[in-house]
Amino acid sequence: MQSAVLTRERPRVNLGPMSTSPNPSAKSVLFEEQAMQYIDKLYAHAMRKTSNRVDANDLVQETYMKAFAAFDQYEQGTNLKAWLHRILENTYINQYRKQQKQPFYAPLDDLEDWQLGDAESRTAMASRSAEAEAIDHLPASAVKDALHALPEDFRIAVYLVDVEGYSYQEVADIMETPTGTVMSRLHRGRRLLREQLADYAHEQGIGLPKKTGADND
Amino acid sequence: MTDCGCEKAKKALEEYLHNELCSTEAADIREHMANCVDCSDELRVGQVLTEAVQRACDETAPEDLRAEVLMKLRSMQAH
Repeated sequence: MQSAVLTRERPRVNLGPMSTSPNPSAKSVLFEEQAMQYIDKLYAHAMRKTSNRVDANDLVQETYMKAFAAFDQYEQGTNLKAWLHRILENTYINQYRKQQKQPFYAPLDDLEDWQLGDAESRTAMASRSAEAEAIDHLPASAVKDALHALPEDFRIAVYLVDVEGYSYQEVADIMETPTGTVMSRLHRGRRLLREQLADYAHEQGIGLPKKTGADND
Repeated sequence: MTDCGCEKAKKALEEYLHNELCSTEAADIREHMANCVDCSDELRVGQVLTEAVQRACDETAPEDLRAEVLMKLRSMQAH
């Protein structure tokens, strides 16, 4: 098997300046080579933005078209994946959000902590270890639902940090917002998520002991 | 004894979890975690929460999407 790996042929691509019309240009070859590998990540990001496959498909396509058009501005050697995530954020804001009728957009970053509830007090009935155990055993669908119930900016901050592993500074660049705002969105998003998951676990009787008497369903 | 105490540990827990602290601060938190059941349980909740989100967000782009993107890119550069 090892020799097969060693002798594996690389796909032949013409990177030379002589390439003509029917062949892809050097720019598009480079772009495809470098950018297409992130399509799963961009699709996951788009699903977190749009919550449905059709719009996520459109958003990913738009993102790639825009990125290709702007590829000359991308500085080789810098983080291409982060650059693509940023273009996706921008594309969504410019095109999709505009189309949606949003009669009310709450300035969520201005909410006080007390308005968002307190996860610790809500889950104080069970021990932390029982809570960890419960979260660990929740079905992915329940976590996905809880994530999508979060305000969009909170959800994206959680997604970019916890799933994509970006630093707070990188997320600040992608979301074009100060680092302090990223931290606040992340903190509040995770707290709300934890609260919702604890509620779900209670309802399903997963891990956490049922509240006695207090349950009304 | 350089234990930073529960208040500081809980406050910095999320940044600790996300590797946002400098090494000295992280070491202080790590040391506190090693000796405090309450804070280390809280950290564990934070870790499983992150893992749960990671599991929930694992997506694979549909094959047609990949094909469509490539087709559009190629038609774009042909013009």
